[in-house]
Amino acid sequence: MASYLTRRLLIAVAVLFTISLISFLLLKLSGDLATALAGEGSNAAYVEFLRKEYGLDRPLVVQYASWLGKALTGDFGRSFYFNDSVSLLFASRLLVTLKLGVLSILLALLVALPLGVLAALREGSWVDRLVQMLALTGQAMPVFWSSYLLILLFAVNLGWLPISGADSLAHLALPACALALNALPALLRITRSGMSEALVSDYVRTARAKGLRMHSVVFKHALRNALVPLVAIAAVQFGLLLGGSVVVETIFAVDGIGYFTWQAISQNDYPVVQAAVLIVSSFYVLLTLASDLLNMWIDPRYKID
Amino acid sequence: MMTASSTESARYRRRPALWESISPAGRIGGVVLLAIALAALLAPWISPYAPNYQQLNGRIVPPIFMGGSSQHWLGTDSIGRDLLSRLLYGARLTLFIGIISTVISAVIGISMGMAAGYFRGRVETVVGFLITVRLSMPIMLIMLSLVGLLGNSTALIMVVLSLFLWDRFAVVARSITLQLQGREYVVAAKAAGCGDLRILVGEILPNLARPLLVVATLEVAHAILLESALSFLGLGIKSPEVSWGLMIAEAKDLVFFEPWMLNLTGLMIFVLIGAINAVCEGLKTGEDMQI
Repeated sequence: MASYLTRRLLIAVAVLFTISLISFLLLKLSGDLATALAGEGSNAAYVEFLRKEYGLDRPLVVQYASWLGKALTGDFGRSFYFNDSVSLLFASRLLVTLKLGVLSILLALLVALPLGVLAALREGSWVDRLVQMLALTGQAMPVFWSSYLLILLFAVNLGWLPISGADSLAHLALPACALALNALPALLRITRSGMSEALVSDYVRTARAKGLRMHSVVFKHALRNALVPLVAIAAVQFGLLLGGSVVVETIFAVDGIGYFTWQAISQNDYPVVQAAVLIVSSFYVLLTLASDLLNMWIDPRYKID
Repeated sequence: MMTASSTESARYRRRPALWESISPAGRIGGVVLLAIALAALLAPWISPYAPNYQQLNGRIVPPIFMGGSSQHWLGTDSIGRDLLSRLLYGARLTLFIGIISTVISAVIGISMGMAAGYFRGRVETVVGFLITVRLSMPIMLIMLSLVGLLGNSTALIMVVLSLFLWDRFAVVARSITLQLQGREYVVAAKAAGCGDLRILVGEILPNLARPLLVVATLEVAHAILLESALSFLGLGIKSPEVSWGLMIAEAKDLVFFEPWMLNLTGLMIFVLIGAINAVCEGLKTGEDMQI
């Protein structure tokens, strides 16, 4: 197991390194930073000055190495637009997005787990069909439309919840619902299929034959095994929520990393964009790692090799 | 002759017509999808107005079922453009981007996946690593930054989409190629001295068709959703071109006053994606996916 862990960690580091390289090169590719910073119609001397000032006259390798070296210590440079430390600008917004992400994934799990288990227990029943309908609907629903439908229904017509902002839990309720609907189909499907697979397995039959009650078989034996793929999918979905919350954050004016990055992109604020890509990627990698570890803990078979 | 006819019947047994092997729900999805595609193709002939034709004295006319006029069945937008015509023309670009990006990413993903499954060893390690890297990249953020910083053109959007939607093709192509390695016909082709390329394209690729078709439907839907999200954020399709995502972006400013405008386009995207997903499910369940 130790060797498996070391290999997983090494791969994670290599993946992050590659992504940092790709995002660095892609942004370099997108044009001359000094000219963009100087603005239209500025003289050549000023462009040269900026080029020196920001170290853009150095070879690419040196620029990359110095950027990565600082990034590793948590220093992503200064934002061109906000003229503040990028790390500081991100810190508070990351918290908002994380809060929104956790809320959404919990909400999705809260719906997916019981419905998925019920659908597997009663295959072909109305619950099962409802689950399939829900999964299909959630999958086909573009998040920008579901967000506005939620706003129109709960904020405009019923007036129960605020339309925008992120000040309180009530403010986050609608955006969390919109994101949860996005993550729901995958979670529903995996719970249902994992559960129905577990229910016909030998160990469940044995447990039933021993005379264990159905609910203890379902919860102690079958569900535990169905959880393994669910954990992996939930981790992936959580990552997708963090990266994909841009649309929802802009609609609901939630000042998280998605909205922030979108603003930075419109302002050609390269340091922020670079940091955003690397930070969210790190979360993806960490989440996959965490889900593997969690699965090792849930599923004893992992411990053998 | 005899051998030819027996392989003929064997092939017939193995592969019933595509249509027959799809579940009923998948068939409904297929019909809806075909109808949308046909409407998109025929847009120049069937749409009542040009997509950018403005009637300035007929702005924000509600659709006919909400008391509008018979001149504009689905109403007009804030600058007097006919929504039905825009939806018809918008479907063209929306479908075009979805399909072309999927085809390009299919070529990338399938060649990578088949190479990995066939040659194994270092090739497989590299491809596996690239897949992990791709899966660890926040696709929405990276697409936004690329399109935002490089300037949004339809071509660039398709290129960027293609660079990010190949992973599932690669995963599926790799695992099936791996399974097919030991099959008699592959071994026989090797023994007969066929080259690697001939075996990959002639013997293995045909067996990948159906599972890859499933992946392709998924990715078309994915590409369409991503394109409309980009356009929604103002970093996708630009006027005078029309796509459904752009129409949503235009309608959102009026959402509190004329919600039907946004809902109409939202509904169309929903129906399109739902139809594509239904076809995908139908392809998966109609026949067992044994390869």
